[in-house]
Amino acid sequence: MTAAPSDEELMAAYVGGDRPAFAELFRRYAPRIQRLMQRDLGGAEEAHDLVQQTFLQLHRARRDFRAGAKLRPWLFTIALNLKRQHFRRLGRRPETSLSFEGGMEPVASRGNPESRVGDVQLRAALERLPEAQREVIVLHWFEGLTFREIAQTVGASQPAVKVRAHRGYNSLRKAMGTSV
Amino acid sequence: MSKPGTTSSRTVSIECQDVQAALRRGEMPEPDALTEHVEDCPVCEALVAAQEPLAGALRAPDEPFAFDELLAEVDAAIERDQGARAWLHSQPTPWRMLLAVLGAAIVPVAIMLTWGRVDLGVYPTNRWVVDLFVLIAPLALALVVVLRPVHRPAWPRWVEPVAVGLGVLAVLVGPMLVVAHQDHPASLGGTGPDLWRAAAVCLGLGTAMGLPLVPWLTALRRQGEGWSQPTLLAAVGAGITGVLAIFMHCPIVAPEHLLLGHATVLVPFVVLGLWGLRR
Repeated sequence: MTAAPSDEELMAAYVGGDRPAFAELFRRYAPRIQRLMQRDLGGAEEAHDLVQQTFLQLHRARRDFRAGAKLRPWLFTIALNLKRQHFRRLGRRPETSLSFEGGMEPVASRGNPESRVGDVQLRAALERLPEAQREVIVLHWFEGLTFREIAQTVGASQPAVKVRAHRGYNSLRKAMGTSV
Repeated sequence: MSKPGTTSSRTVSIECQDVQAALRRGEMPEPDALTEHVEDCPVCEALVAAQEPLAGALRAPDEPFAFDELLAEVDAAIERDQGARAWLHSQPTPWRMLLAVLGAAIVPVAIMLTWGRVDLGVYPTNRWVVDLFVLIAPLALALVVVLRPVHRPAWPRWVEPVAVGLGVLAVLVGPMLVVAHQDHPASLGGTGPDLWRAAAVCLGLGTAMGLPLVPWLTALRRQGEGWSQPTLLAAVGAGITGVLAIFMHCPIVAPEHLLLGHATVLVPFVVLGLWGLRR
């Protein structure tokens, strides 16, 4: 049994003209990009459009992908840039959504009024974070990127990203009223 | 004290990603190792403290995802992305940059070689270098910003307005400097009764010579259809190219001519760029 090809191997194959490799990358990442988009956008249609744009940009930029580079930060950078451009066009700030249609509604909270209140609090707390901190929290906690990948994605140093995460998590903890 | 990220452990060593992975699974890392790790890692300490509400949000079901439908849409978009323009924006960024530079340089260089200013022999060299640098530097900045690939982290939002502002300032520098020279008869025209006519000719020529760069840069940049944010800067870059081209030809050095005939070349490009932003 052979191991599944890495993201980078799939990307290299796609650059070489292998269309199924693109479909596999799409299978791996489209749901995550969709979630990333929908978390701030709320509407599925807008999120779908941005997912489509993200993979179209991945296709257009494929010849910029260099051997040794990691695909995940590359792809998330495209997604975040497109999301920022989208909000700039609309002239509004992202709104964090944890409970949109079919979306991030916590399993534990369904039908549980106390947890429901907690979700609303968390959403409000995330919205109040400065964009730079919220972005790092979303990539770190919700998307599971490492600090190194986040640093590449947002164009900051690892220590700077860690400082943002530290401040962001502390702000969330204070806003949610939990204790260490 | 070790840096956040790694902890030298006397018993079990864990790193930030171990803490994160465990919490994401809804588990708590081994207590002693966690205690030792968070002593040195304020980020993980904050993460552990905040994980209760965060874990609730993470234990979410994956939303229904119309995989086949969306992949078909992306495939269709890629299929539509054909032709010369698609070929241009699929080129590696260094090639796109080279093509942009060639596009920006070809008209001014051609003008210089075939229809160059007649006072070049008496134009002070230092001033020539300054005039060129003042125009070329913001043009280069505009090209770099416009063609920045979308897979690179975005620059701060102020970069684009600053680049536009520098472009506008650049075309105003020439008229504000002292007259470069008065040593050639052709350089002394364009004033008095001839002011408006000469200015209109330069404005028309400069606009015409800069205009082709707008579709060229638009074709080279990769932003999707409807993503027109850098259009203003692309238009300003094209306008500076027009000013540069007319500077290569027109020997008139009077400040009022440089202001009304050369600097104003940027105006139609700014209007065009603002119109592009509103689309």
